[in-house]
Amino acid sequence: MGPLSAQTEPSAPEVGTARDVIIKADKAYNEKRYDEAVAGYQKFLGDFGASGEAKPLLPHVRYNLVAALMQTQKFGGAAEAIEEAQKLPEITPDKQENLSFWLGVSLMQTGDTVKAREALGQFMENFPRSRRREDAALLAATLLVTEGNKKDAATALAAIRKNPQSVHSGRAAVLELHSLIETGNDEAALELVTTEAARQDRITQLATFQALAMQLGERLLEQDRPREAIRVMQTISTQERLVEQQQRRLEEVKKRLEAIEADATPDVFERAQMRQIAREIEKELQNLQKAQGFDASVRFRMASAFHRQERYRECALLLDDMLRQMKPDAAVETASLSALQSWLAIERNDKTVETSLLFEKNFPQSKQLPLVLYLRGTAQQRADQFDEAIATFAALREKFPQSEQAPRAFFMEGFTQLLAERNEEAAATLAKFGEKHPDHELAEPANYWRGSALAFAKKLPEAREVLGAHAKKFPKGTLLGAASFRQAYCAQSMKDYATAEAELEAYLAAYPDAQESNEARLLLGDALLAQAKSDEGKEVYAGVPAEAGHFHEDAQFKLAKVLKLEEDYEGLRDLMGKYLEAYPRSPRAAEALFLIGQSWRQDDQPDKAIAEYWRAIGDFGNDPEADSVEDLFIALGRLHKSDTEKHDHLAALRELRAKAEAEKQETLTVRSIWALGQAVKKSDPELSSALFREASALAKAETTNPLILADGAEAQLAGATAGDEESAGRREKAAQIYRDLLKWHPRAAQKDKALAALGRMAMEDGDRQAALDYYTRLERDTPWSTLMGEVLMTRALIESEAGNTDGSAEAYTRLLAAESVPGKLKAQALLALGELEMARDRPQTAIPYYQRIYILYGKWRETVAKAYLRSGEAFEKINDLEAARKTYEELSKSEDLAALPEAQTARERLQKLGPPSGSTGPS
Amino acid sequence: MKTRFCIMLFLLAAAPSLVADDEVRLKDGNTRKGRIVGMDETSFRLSLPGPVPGQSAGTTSIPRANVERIIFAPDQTLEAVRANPGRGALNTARVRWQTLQPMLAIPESRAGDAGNLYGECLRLTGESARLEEALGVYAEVEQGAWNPADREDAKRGRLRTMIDLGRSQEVAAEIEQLATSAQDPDLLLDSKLLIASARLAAMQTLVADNPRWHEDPPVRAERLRLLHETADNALYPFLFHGTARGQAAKGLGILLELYQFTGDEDEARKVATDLTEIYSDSPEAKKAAEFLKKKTEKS
Repeated sequence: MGPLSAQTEPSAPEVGTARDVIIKADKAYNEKRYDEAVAGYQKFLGDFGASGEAKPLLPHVRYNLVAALMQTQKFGGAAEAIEEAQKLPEITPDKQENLSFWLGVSLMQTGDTVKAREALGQFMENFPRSRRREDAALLAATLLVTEGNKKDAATALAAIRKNPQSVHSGRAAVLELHSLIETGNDEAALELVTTEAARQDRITQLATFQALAMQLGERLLEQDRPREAIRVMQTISTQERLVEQQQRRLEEVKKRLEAIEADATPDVFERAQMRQIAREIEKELQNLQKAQGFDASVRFRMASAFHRQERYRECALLLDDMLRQMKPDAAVETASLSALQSWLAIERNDKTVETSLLFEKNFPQSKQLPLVLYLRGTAQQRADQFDEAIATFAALREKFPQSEQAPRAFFMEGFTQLLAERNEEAAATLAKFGEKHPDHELAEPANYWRGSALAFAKKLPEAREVLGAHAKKFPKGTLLGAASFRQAYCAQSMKDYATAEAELEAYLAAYPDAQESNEARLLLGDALLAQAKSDEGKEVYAGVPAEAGHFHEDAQFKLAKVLKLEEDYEGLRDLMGKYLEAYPRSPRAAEALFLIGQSWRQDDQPDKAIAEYWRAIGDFGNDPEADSVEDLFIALGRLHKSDTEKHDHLAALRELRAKAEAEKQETLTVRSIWALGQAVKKSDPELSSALFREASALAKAETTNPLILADGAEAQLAGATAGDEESAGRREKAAQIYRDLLKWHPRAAQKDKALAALGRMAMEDGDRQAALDYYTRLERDTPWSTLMGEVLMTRALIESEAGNTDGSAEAYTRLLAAESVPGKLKAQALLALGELEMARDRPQTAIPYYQRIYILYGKWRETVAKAYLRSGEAFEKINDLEAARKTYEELSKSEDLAALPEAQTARERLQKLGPPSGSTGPS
Repeated sequence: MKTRFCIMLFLLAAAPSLVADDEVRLKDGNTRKGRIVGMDETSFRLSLPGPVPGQSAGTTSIPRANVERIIFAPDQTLEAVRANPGRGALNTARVRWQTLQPMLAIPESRAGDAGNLYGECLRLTGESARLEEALGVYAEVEQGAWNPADREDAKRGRLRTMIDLGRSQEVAAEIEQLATSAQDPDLLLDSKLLIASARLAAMQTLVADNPRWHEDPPVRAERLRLLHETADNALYPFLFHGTARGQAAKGLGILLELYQFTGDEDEARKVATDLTEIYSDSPEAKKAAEFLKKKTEKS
């Protein structure tokens, strides 16, 4: 069936003006002057329609009249004309098909929906293979929607949508979704949305479809079905993308429409359809472009859905983005607050702080600002940014003193000061809190922590006073037990053991299973022993249960100490023996063995001590998880004093090694070789190094004690001095061992050694950056290291050589602040800082550095002498000759320093300076 | 047998060519049709269609100076590779690339696309030597292709390959710059995915180098930072451009890999469920389904 077109050649006998009328009407139709054509055909029918001669022409005329009426969209007239035309038996089947379809369309256009549906139904029945069938099906389904029969409409539309051949599946999808939502069939709607998600390119009214999807998503949220809501929301594009897509679509539709219009006989239905689609898309675009907060709407709903699923990261990311991208309005404000809370829920402290700052910037007048500040302070505290947290809480109190959060912030300020070990400040703050908010729910914890802060600040009598009054102040409090314990603890710290004993006993009687009860038992034992009540003390220690973890362990060792003092060596051995049985792999197992060994020695039976150690080695020597075995070897070594004993010891170790190798006990083999190395360390250092190297070569880094690894690495380095290939190989092995040590034992006591050595090797290889990286790690990870001074000095030199004087100065400054650095290095650092200032031509800033050396580090003569001399030179530079003279005199007259070359230089300088002005002779 | 052979010959002859004809428009207004099968500095070689479909009548040389423009025909070989990239398409992709490579700078040619597809096939093998080769191919396309879109794709391919080779640190700055400067939403999403992949790779390296990371506070902190950055970037396409289905699914795929690596079973399950329910047609959904199945069988 082709498009509606007029016949060009009527096959009828010539009937004078009748034929003329038809020809004229046909010409008008072909030239798209449809109104004229309609008039012509109607004139023919009016003037000649009833005549017999005109009868053969009627099919042509009636059909063409319908065609022309359809083109002019005069559907009322068209319906009537169609019915007339359909009566003619001469109308060919293809034309009957067209007429049947157009009847349905015309009735639809005139609003007679029921008849239209019937007509379309009839068409589909009579012409099941028609190419218009799908068009008719869609129209019929649309009519159901118009009539309000959404349920049947949905079913009909689903059939069209699911038909892979149908060109209307996209349009059907939109109407079907609308119908399903209207009828509350959410399951089917959900299925439709998710199925069509991957095929949205075929939906022309995409914005409408997605608006419906949003509606569905919201409904699913209301039904507390967040997962399904997310599935739906994910199908919605951003506003920008949607506009772009619909603009492209509109272009395509307009092109299609142009093509239809250009056709000699445009298909009326297709043209009408394209026009309708174009109008719909234009309307969608207008609405889209005007829409405010389209994306925000979707994201907010999605965030709510994620929040309900406790997927706080997703929630926070969505809401956070709203704060950053969108204009600050009420919705964004609410969203931002939720974002903050979500970040905090997943402990993203950095993000919480960042978002809170942005919130404050965007909503400076927000009523939620106190809460935002409180959340910021909390995040800072959790991130150990104590100073920042304290400042935030203080600012909250100051800016919003009447807010709900102000009292909490007050408390948190004090508590954070406590965490920062600013104990006196904490006590003062918490005291003020108590005065200002005596009835607040945090008043009790504030009082307790105030007392604790005073205790930490060593203000024990005040602490006792506060904690002692706690129960009276808060008779129904939840921290009564803790306060009692802390009060007793203070008495103990004050060495008031009698009071401590009484209070601890009272505490244990009232709170036998409280959190601090086992600690209290230990303290009570200590207090009793301090009063020479050793039997009672021992009983208390013995009463600390095994479930108390490290408190139980501590109690066992305290008990052991008492037994040792009482010289009850048998009792001690029995106690420690039971401990070892119960906890063979404990980190304190070696300590227990030492105590046993000591007890045998005290009993004048060193052989039995040795036997104990060997027994332990036998039991645990091949167990990589038994940490204390290495310590046992060292202890064994100390028990062999005479040459003969040492010789025997070596023989025993060799035997142990041989046995371990024969039985393929890898861990024990490594340990025994290392122990041999330890045993000959003083007598044969070269052999010792060789044995350490051998041990480390066999060792598996993952399971070997880092002590063995470190000794092995050191031994490798010691043997790498020759500069030959073998040395290079040993050096590389040393580096690898150190790297393995760091990898497998991040908490090893030898970590600083490894980092320092790797840094040194990197320097030797010319890789300054790698050296600095190792040193940075050393400073960060092992601030207690005794190598700190050496490392910082090296670092300062590296920075200096690289021309980075600021970096160099910083390194020296850190060196001065490090507790573990010896005085000699500090003196050198001060000298270097002074030199840096002199190099910067700032002698006045250099002088204090020099002076600190001879005031604080007088022990280091050579450095002191240099400091004096440079100080004098600095004074000369700033033209303070009097001070210069004085400095040189101090140096030259110092008995300690007189022999040093700097003293001689000082004397020469004095001569050059001459006597002070106003004096009559040489000084 | 002979009849069968003749029939086969006929069928081969009758089989439609996999590629349609290119159109060479000359400056004199004439047009030549055929297949561009090669070129040198001075001329193009055009294979002319023969009387029997699928057979060439021969080749002719057309001086480059005479050519106004070439309209290259759709390339079904490349489309076939695109539909199924990977080891199976490697040889086909290589041959096509080698054929088109000389025309990389010629406007309208598909050489850049061919290079990128070959690079992708190499990359998907996961083999170190092939990854290195992919880098070379991408670099060539990135520098020489006429089409800016091909050059951009090549850049992304190169960055992805560097990540696969464990060299993400070398291109970290480039990836970040891509993310911050990307105006095009697609490019932005791709760069977020690149960052996520790079962070995940860095985290995996960190944990491999520090197997007791949980005992080392600075390493623990660094691991946590990488975890968050991987997750935040991987989630970006899913959360903000859920209809960009390919990229959203890829992001969730990276996230699933992350949670499997960290042993976070609950989160992994949620992400796997997202993939199977929302992006069921994606390759990542298949892996997610296998993961969920294993978890169900275990429990």
